Amino acid sequence: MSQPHSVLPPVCRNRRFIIEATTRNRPSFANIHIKLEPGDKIIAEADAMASMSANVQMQTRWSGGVMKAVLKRVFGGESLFVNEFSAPAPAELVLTQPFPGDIESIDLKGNTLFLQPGAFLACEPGVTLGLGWAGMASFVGGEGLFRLKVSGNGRVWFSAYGGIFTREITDEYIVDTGHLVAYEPTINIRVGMAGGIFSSFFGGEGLVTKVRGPGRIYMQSRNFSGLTAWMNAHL
Amino acid sequence: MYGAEEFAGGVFHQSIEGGRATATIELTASGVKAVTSTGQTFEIRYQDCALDVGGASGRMVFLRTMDRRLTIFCEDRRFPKALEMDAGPEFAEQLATVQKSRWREGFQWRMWLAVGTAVCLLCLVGGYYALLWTAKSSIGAIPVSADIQIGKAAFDARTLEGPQVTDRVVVDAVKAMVARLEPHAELKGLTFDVYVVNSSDINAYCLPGGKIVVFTGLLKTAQSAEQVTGVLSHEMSHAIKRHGLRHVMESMGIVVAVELLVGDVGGLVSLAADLGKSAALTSYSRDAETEADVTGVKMLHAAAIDPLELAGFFELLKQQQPEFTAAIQWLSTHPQHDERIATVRGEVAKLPPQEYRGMEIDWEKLQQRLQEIGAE
Ligand SMILES: [Zn+2]
Repeated sequence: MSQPHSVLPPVCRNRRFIIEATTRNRPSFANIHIKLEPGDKIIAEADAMASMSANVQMQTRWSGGVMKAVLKRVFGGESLFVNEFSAPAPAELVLTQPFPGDIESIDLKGNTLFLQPGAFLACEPGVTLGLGWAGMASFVGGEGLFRLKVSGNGRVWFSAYGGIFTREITDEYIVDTGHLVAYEPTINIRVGMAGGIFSSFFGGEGLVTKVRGPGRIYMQSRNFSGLTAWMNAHL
Repeated sequence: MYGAEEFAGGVFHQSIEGGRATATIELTASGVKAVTSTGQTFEIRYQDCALDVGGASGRMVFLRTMDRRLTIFCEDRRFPKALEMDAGPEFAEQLATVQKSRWREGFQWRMWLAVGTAVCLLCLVGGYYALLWTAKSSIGAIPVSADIQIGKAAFDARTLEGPQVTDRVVVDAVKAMVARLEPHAELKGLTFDVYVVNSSDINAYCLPGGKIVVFTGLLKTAQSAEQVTGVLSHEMSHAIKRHGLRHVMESMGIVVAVELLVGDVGGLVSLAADLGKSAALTSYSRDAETEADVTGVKMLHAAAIDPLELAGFFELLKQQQPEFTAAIQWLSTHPQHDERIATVRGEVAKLPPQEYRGMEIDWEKLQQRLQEIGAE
């Protein structure tokens, strides 16, 4: 909540107020269908583009500083580059994620949101992408060394493996590792053991994410380690 | 002064659309006031205020009413100080206590993490040494055929240090020395083959399994057949005590240890072929050298050859060292001869009396033949 309260309301930039974007095929195979007008801009994760009109211009840029981008590539799971899409005439753009699941969009309105590695899909130009240190415990817990901090004004789209559900946390809550997708800055995240040290290491429910509120968290109904385990068992 | 400072923060309350909003935080005389961007105002009186620290950064300050219906939060770094100034020192104490307990929770986790890492590391290191130790101590369980295979691979991989001497007089003399010692080798199953090489180096070596290479330089420098036999007893002892195998295991560590434990000699053989090109199979540790001297002395004694002949050869080398640069060859792989002379003498002193018989070799004829074939 480092944004001052006097943040200007979204300005009317002699064009229509909001880019028209609809999320289709929810929740299993969600994708974002965007109608670009001249002057509109959308920033998306490097691999997110599924299809686009021939006149859409795509520009690749670093998402943040060079060093941070490198670190992010190594530890954070997010792509090194983001693509900036614009069009000189009305055009359409479809963005999607590599895995089956839902896409959620949030209008930040000056607020901040933390995204887990790999969750970021796209945002409007008013949104600032920042990389934050998530801590050693988060890394051990399989959640990555870094987390993406999105702040500013505009919509941000993030993706999940499976469905997305939210929960208002007032006190403490436990999420299995890999299920957390995004959370508000008022949320405190710690990695802990589900049970005692013995049952944690041998009982299958090893490490869990301990979430303390107040605030809202976004979770995905599936997790990737579950998928890989399932695949390994069936190969 | 109240109200002079404003902080960016937020409020949680059910009357707000969506349940939360960003707000400007102000410290008044009676409490903490938050005004949202839509103009809604909330206030918590200091005496009704519970304090907590958390958030994504871990240093966000939360102020709550006792019924937890209203929460005001702020992450501004100046906020805790201002709170202490305006709300009183008991707030600072409360804040410190909360921070400490939060830190302790984190500490507990970090401690488990550190302990876990240390245990894992210890297990790895311990496992490595245990495996190495098992492999080393199980050397007796490895069949002698492994030594022979390794020695053969190494021998085939290396080129002899000079032209091979095939003269019967010379070769038979060395074979006779080896034959005299062979029955007294404490490890059975080795096959001692003799190769004589025309080279001025005063040297000899024995590969794992028993392939012996003797340089004409050694035969020409030694003063008697017994001295040469003494040197051979030392070299054969390296094979008998399996120093080559041990050396490979020590230098190659875990890979070899695992291979040996699962009974796969193939990898080891190819390794020996590589090592054979270097001196790795014929240069040993000081302990191994001492052990070879001691074993050699015992073997000489058992074969009724005076072990002091070996010490005599060391004396000879010591004297001739400045004159013969070639002597350095043997010395580079067999250092510290004063110490070795002492070792040999010490071992001899421990042995029971024995009737020594000389070698039945015509030393004069051997020297003459070496001259004739142009040995260096
Ligand atoms: Zn030696």
